[in-house]
Amino acid sequence: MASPTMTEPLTPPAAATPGRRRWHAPVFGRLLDALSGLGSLLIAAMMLLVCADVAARNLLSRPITGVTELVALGVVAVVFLQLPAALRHGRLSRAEIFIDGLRRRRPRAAALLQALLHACGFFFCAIVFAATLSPFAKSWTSGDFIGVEGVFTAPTWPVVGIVLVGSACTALQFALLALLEWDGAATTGGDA
Amino acid sequence: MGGMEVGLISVLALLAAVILGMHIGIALGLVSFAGIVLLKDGGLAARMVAATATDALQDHAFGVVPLFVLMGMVVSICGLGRDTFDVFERIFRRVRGGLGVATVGANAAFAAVTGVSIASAAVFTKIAVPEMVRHGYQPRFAVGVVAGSSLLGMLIPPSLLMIIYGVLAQESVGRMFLAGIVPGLLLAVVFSLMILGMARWWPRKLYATAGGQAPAALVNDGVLALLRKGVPIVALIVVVLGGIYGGLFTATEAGAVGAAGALVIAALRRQLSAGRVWQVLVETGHVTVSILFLVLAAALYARMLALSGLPAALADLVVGAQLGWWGFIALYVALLLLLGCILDSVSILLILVPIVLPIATTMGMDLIWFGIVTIVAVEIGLLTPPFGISVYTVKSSLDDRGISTRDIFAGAMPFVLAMLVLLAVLVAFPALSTTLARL
Amino acid sequence: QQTVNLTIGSSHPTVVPWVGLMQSYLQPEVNKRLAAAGSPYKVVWREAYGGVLYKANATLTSVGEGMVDIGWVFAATEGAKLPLTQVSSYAPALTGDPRHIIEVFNRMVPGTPALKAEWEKNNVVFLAATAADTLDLYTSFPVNGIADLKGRKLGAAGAIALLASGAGVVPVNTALPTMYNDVKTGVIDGAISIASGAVGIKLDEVTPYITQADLGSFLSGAIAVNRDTWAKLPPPVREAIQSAAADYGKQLGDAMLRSREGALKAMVQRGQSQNPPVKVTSLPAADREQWIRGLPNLAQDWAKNLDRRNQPGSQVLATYMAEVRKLGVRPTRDWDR
Ligand code: NA
Ligand code: NA
Repeated sequence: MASPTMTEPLTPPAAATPGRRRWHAPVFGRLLDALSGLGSLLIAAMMLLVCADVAARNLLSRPITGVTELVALGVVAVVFLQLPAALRHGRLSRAEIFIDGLRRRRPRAAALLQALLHACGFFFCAIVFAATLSPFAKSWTSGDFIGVEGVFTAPTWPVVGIVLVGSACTALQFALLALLEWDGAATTGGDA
Repeated sequence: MGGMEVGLISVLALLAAVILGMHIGIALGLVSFAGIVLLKDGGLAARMVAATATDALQDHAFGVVPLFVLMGMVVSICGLGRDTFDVFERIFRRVRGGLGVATVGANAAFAAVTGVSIASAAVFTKIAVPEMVRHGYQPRFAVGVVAGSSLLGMLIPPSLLMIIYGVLAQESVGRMFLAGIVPGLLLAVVFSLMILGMARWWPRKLYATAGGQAPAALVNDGVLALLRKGVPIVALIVVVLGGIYGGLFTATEAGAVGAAGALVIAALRRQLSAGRVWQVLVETGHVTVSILFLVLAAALYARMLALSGLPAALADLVVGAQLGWWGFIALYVALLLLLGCILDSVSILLILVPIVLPIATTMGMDLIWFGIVTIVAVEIGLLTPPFGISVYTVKSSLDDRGISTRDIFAGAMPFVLAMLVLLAVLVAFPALSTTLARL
Repeated sequence: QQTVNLTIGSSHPTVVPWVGLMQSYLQPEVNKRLAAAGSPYKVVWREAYGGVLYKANATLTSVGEGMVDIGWVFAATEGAKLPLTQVSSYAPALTGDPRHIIEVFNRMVPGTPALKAEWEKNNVVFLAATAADTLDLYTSFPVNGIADLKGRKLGAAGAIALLASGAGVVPVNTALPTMYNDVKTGVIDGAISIASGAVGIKLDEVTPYITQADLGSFLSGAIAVNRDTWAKLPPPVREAIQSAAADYGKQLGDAMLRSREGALKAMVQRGQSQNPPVKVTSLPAADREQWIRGLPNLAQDWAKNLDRRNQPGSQVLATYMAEVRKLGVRPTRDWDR
């Protein structure tokens, strides 16, 4: 549970935008927010779908087939649609105690450390992206699905595709944050 | 390098990365990747990372996370939290320390519809702290009560931690919920007694005014107005719990029905605009990903640990060391409390539970009782420095710059002690946790 | 002596008979046979049972990508990647004897090029089939005939839902772990399930009426080995694994039968003091036949669908039926006609 501010949503914390030059291309930021918006719509859709299933099962004795499968796929999609924006808005959990202290005492060292940590984030997301390329190609070409033919089936490629897009965008956002900190370190006049 | 060495080094590397400030999910992911590279090879490591990314969360049981978060958000924007507080404030207005008890009571009721403690902390910081401060309570005490009683949010069902434990331990989530009822109510009672005791014997801890006189009544609502405020939350509790135990829907589906119910209540109260719904959905998304990304990364870490053989070796070691039942529980709880200082509760469950479950099973422990003990111990971490998420939630929801994070940690300390007492009671009397669940 | 390191694993815990037997029979048996043959090789097993490396939703890809060398593949849920292997789900209720299903698949998969290729395309080599015991009814209400089932909500995981329409049952997709709770709270009125699964989750506590409907045994999965690992193994080790796997199938068939008998007995025994006590009855033969005759022509739809995609669906169905008849089974429904 990253940021606890739930009463003032949509306010990016100061930590996400230090430095002088603005590396955040506004267009990219808006793209990430659009992805996250899609994820939010998906949550709403999941809520409606489950409620419809509950109603149909109890009132009409006719459950909606495939709800289990769709929710399972939906959870993965929601996470990867939301991931880049959550990073951008500083909502992924981390312990900031040490680095905050360092920032007060030695801002330049803190900026360099932060750049390194963001580079690690870039590296990890890049691995997810690169290693998901081949599963995506397979699921696309072979028409992979989950479920049972004759009962309910749902293709898996849209979700694997979302993992691909989400990991790529998160990697890019990490790269932007790392460059931003690097830039900040270069313009910070020595350690106080 | 042998598996054991890789496993042990990975634990240290993980702690170091987290303390330095790496995102916890990234730290788990990278350490796991490096571990698999050392244990097997780079190609397999990358394939395991990708496979975990797509299949670890592909389970409809995880659908409850966004749905319960959504319900909590809707409940808090439509003012149900304030109304609940008003009702309890009215009930306890003649009691010394009554506003403190009212906060605990309102939190307990609110806990029956939210599964996340940060929701409780955020809502009641806005509602209860200003009221208490206005009525002469110590700010430090006011924020402490809110931070402390927010723990009820994840002990009284529904609870995110119980859902995650249920998934990890393959215990029924419905039974875990039942198991939490008695300990949750017990905690509310312990907190209330503690506040009443403080009001009587250490009034200076409670009241800013020297005399510590009981404040004048605030809410002068008549019975009818009070009923009108109490009915919606009771209705929602009845819908959610009644639906689960009345066979209309499963514990997993209850999040969706509850969220829809909360939206209906908000709409009936004309507190719902398109903009607000959107804001709630966006916020729900952010909270969801911050939880589930951790779940995903911790699943990868657990897989790497399994490859290293460390958990099995540790289990052998603990069983072979003849620590015995009490020795093992003491060691385990100490470890949970220690990790609770630096990690968030979900991460601790995900990292530690897969390692200790085989040991607990070998020792013949009841896994439902074990889960409740685990959850209570992990929840204490929400209040302990340096990383106490409930404390930070209170801080960031607070408008008052005069109250520091340090004040909140200090104010929450009595509640940490009360939690420790409860924990000891629950360890000593397993029936408190298991009787309802095994009914 | 030369050691060969192999990782063996599963998504399910070892309490599931076909997983337990991997640990208690297959693993030691391979080394026994290597030693008996005077081979210099010894396999050192590293165990990853119970879903520690992957969950039930990724059993095939995890063996294929080498997360384990040998693993149990939950073939019944892999309709997309193993379409032809699903034949026993779409030609259901032929035999209640798991030994028949195991024997048929153990012969058919290696012997039918299209079936064999289907496994190898996923980078795994099929070693031995595993089958579930026959499907029965576990209900919270008494069942005297299929008329009692009409409109009732019964838990039916995966392909078992295909059977529901024959008796007008409303299938609800519920997994084994949540079934108990869902029956208890009344979300479902019971389940179509197997005895060896029901006994483990104490389903009988909430469904005192057990009706032997004998809706058939079916292929649950198979033990498979990663294809790259297989290619690299010394021939004597390969032979030892293959022969041990073949006998694993025989052991499993017997074990499943025993497990079913034991489970039913255990449920009746421990359910004596319950109110109402656990009671096992049989669905009248005429009702059972009516149920199976009432099913749509699942097999033909399935086979034609595959034929259209240039996969030998009809041919595999015909082979399957022929193999089943060869074992002396007289099908209630001739799915190939
Ligand atoms: Na709760
Ligand atoms: Na803490």
